[in-house]
Amino acid sequence: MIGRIGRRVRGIVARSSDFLGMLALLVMARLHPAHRARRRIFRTLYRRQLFYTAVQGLWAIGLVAALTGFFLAFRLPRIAGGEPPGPAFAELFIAVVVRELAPLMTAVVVIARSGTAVTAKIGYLKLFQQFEVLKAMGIDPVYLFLVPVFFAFPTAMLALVVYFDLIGLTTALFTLWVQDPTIRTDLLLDNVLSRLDLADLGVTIAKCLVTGLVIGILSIYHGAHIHNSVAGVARGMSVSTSRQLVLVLFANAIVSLVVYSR
Amino acid sequence: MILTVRAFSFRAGPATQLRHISFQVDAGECVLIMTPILLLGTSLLHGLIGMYDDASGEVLFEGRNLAHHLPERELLALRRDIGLVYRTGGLISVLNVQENLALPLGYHWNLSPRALRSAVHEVAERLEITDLLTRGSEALDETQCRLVCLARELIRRPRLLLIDGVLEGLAPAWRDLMLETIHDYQRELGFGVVLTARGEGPRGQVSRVYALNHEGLSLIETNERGEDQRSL
Repeated sequence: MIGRIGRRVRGIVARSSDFLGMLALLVMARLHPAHRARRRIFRTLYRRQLFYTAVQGLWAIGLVAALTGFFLAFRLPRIAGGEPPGPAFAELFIAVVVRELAPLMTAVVVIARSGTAVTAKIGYLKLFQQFEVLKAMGIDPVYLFLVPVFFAFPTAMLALVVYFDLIGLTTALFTLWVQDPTIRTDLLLDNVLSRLDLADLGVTIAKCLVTGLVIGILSIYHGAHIHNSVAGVARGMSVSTSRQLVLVLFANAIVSLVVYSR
Repeated sequence: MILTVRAFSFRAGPATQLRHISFQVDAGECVLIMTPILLLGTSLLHGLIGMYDDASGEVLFEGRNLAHHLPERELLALRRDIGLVYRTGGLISVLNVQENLALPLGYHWNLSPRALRSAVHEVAERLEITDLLTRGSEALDETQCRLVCLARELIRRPRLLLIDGVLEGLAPAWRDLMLETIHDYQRELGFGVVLTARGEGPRGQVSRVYALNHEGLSLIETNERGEDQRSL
């Protein structure tokens, strides 16, 4: 039993140092500011990753945001006990959607769509020894494939969370109007916008950056550490997804607790 | 000499060990290395560019010993001038053919997009792969993969070109096209060539022929036909 515990601890320490080493490589990878052609390659791969993660994820995020906005507004008249929505709607929308659901649900969709795809892509590059091909050409594989993901994921998260809030708010207002056509949706919108403050903006940005980095780094890490088999890629995707979900939930909770429990 | 290999020994995994490899390649020269199995040739070429840690001896390229544990950055910089043409794989699957061709050139040389496109189209026309440029690299058959690999290395204008059994099993027309293109580029750029083969290599067109096995490398044939016969 002591041996098992020891092996487990040693495994955790080894994986942690591997992870920190990879993080150091990502941070130290030079962006080659003076080399225009390399910056062009980086920009092409960065934009491509942004397209796959953000643009191609718009439909899924839009759908989740619309459903969230719809159910929130659908239940609101019953929660408000017949009172006009007004301030209650604004408080509910900001507290539930802007601060919590938008970053969380967006992260879940990004993990499911892009986190798994990046893990698989890097896993297959490793499986078919394409990192060795790049090194044989004198090309740093970290700069080429890992750094664009490292930058693209936080950017995509920020754009998608803003999009989630917009779609959620629009759907909620529309649902309220359908239930009661006399309702002043422009006043409701004003209520929401006037109650948003810098803390909400800061928290949203912080959550997007943190969760984007967590998803990107873990996807890269697990892709780069697959066992050399196709089954290893599938296993890497599964382990990567589980860890990303747990860490993202944890990170969101910590940020909210720190900022909003004062 | 472009490449000088002296008493080079290395281990490429648990079952593959090569010992006492010594040979030289000069500018414009071609050396053919015959192997009983292609894996030995692949391992040797990977060893020459410093892919294995467990190595001893000397592999001198541009005054640096690739068999030593050079810093990663220095090793990557030296490999800029060495082309390695793969028999299988060798292309980056997430990039299409045009991007594969342009990648090392764009990474190492600060060229404009127009210059890159022009260089890519020039080599694609020479190897008759212009119609493949927009295809994904995973949609290519083996012959096409080899042609694209060769194009990608020639476009870089290397000082040393390592060719890993690429001519094996090719249809005669494609084999002749590859040899002719390598010959043309070698005459123009003056690079040295190390070519591995299992069956019949282009023996009449090389300076020296070696035989490689686990015990070492031995010279079996020298082409005495003079300077203008030294290149492919």
